[in-house]
Amino acid sequence: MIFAGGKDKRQHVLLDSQVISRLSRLSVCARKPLEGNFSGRHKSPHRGASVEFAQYRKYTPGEDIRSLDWRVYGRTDRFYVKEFEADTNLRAYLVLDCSNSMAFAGRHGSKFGLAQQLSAMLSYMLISQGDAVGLHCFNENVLKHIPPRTNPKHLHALLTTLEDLHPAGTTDLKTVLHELAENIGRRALVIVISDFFTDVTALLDCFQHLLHRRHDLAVLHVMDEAELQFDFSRPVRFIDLEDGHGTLTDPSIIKSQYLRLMHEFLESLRIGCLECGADYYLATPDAGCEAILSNFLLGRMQKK
Amino acid sequence: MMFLQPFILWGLPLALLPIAIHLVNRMRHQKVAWAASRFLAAAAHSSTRWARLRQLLILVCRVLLLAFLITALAQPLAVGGWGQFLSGPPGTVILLLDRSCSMQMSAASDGITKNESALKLLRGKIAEVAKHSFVVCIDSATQHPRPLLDPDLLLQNSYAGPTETSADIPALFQQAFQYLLSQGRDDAVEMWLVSDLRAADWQPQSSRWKAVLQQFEALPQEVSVRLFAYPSFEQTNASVQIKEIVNFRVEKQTITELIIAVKRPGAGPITMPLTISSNGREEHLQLELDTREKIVHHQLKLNKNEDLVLGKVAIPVDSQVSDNFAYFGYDRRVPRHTVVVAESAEVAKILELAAVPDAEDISLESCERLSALQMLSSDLSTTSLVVWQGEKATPAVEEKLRDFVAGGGVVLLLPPSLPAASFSILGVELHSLQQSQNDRSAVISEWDREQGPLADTVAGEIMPVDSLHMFRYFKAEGNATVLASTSTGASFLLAKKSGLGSIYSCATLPLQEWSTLADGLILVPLMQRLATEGCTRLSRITSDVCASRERRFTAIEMGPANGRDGTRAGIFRDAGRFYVLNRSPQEDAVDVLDDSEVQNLLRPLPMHSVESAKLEQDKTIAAASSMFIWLAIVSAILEATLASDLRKRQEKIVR
Repeated sequence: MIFAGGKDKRQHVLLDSQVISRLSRLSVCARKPLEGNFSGRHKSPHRGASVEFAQYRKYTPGEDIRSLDWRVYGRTDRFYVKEFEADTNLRAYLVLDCSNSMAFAGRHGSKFGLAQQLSAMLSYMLISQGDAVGLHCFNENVLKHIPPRTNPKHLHALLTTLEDLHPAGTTDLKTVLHELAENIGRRALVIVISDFFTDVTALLDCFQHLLHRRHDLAVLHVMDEAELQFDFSRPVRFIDLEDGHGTLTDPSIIKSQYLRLMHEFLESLRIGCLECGADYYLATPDAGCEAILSNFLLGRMQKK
Repeated sequence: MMFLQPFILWGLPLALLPIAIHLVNRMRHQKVAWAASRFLAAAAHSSTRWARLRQLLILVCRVLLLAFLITALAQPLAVGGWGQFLSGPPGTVILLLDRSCSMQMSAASDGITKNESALKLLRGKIAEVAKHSFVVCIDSATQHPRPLLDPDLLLQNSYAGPTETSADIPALFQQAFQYLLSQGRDDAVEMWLVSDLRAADWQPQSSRWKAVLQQFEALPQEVSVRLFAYPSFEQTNASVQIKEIVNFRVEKQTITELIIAVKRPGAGPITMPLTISSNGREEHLQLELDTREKIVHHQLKLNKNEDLVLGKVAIPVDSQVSDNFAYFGYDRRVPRHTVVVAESAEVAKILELAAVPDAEDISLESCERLSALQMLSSDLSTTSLVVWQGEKATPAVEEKLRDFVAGGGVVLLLPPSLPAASFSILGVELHSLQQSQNDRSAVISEWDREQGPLADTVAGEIMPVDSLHMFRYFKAEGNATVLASTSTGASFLLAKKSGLGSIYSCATLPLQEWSTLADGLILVPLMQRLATEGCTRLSRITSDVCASRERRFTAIEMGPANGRDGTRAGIFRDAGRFYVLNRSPQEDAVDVLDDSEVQNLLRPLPMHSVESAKLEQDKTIAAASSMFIWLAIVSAILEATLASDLRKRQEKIVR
């Protein structure tokens, strides 16, 4: 089934109904207490009126006596108030790298295509479960910023924006993420989808900034199999997607070194994310959107 | 370096194929839009020298692998062993060609003889080697070194073709040494020896080998041997040989009898046709053979006035044609005249009887008794044998006898019957008369049964020499060969070659008190054989084995057109004499040396390769080819190791 929405009934090709139906039992969870506008399924940092008992607190004169726990009074002759967890809805930001490096296409499609699909699916799932989702697209500048909303019409806007996006320009992850960390007011789930071809130390610094602001950070590292395997038999002229520079080289000579550097990059990013408390997931187009999402959603549910 | 298939070397540029592929690949590079350029740049920058070196080594290994394979296919010739093959071709190549009769054996499958096969094989090899080396050919028949400027001459010239001669391989090596000594050069020498490794030709027990190999070792230049061996033997080969021709009288009729030896392969009774041609007439016989060898006695049907018999015996042609026929010749008019000079009348009488046992047969055999003085003045030109017993010889007599022997006559010396301290004549001294004690006579225990007057008969019967008892005998000394001796080492019969003839000396007398020689069992055949030996020079026919001659025969009676040099079997004429030439009996001996025996025999000389050229196929085993193949294998292993190591590292990193 192809989703269609909006007044123009535009067909949204990024959503796969079969995948959605297979993933319907899973939900996007927050690992930390977040601050939403409405009640929802996610934990709030504040106390509220939910069914989940949080703690006992001494009664302060002047408080509503309806919250007194009379059973405890019967046992202890003291007045205690029962506090319950406050549930709120999730506010998620999808931070999408739209630089030219994301345009790299392997056998199973381009990285940007995968990123678009993941963003679209996550948008749908979040909105379906009553959460708010916004979109933040960037390259060396911020291309598009859509604040989080929950209504279905908003989903259409997100999907339309995603579909109309094309990778271009270079990357300035550092500046964008720092700005985002400053600009997102309340605690939110930030899902960054990028290939992260930048300095890892500076990147981790950005992640620390976001985490310091008490956001829940998830990193979807999009890489193509070709970039990971570097399986070339003949000499190749590599044309850089961002600056157009060409490098003629014999892959067999540099392969060992390249793979070592790639491995170091992936490990340093993964371990850096683990250490600072961000969720890290490697996403490759050959794995397929469903498997990546399934892995992502289940992983977050287990870590909750 | 020399190569057997040099045209394959034109493929050596193919060894550069890996480099060409590498360069073409570099030019035909694919363009790939790439996002992770920072890693590329970093990898290219930090790509270790070892990785680049490894790539270069892999490329070099691939080039070398192809180069070694192509070189191995071109069959390089190793010169003087592994360490020397890089030193280049030898300065001189001496081709030692075994042209013996047995090299005419051919394979049943294609009929090409060993000789033809060898020459064909050598023609190509010599054409290649002649570009860098001086080639000389020494053949076993003529033993004469000949420069070989044109390899095609090998197939055309008579000095390489078939013969019925025997080969003397130690002499061939000696000739090669003499040639090298005469040239006075010091560049490397390679001797290419073509032979069928017959033991009779190689004579591995001969003491000459040690001497000649020591001579080679003393040469300043490096000398090595390359053997082209044709040792195989066709089991279907049959041969025929004339053992003897005898002439005797039966009831006033003179009979000339051929004694023929026929050898056949396999076991079981067979019938073999035998053709005998004599004086233009042919007789065909069917031989029933149930043993490997059969002796056939055949009386020739000759007319009374036919005193010269020339002919040929032949059996059906098989894998070796040269032993399927044999020539014969006999001069029936040769007188056998014996002169007896004896100081004892009794001894003279016995000797006369022994010389002419058949008193009626005076046309062929005669004997006369002369005094020393009479002998001095007599004409010995038609005399076969002079028997000198006991008489003192004056210098004039000695000179006459010496001339007689030099001309081919035979002298038999017997001791004096009267007491004498010693008896010396013609260099033979008889002294120290021995007397048997207590009726213990001296008995002959050893004698030469192979050749000489006491040899076994053609039919294989043993002379009853051991039945002789000596009661009195002299000790005989002189530079002579002992033909018979007693168990105590006392000589009975000595023989000495002098000129064309021979001097024999007997230690005892045919007298009752001296020995039992007078019973005739030994004396009669001894006298007959000595007279036969002595009358050979009087015959118009000379029978001999094939061998190269200085002077060519003037005409061919029977035989091949190219046989006038004496190397082919046949009947030839020269200066009024007939020469009947046959292959040597030793060519019928089939024992061959194996490769290891040859290598041991030639041990001081490096034998860097042995080519076992079988009759069925020309299979070349070149030690240098093996080396290049091993080098190619090593290159392949090295390339695989380097490439595999590279892949493992990359896979490890990917995992």
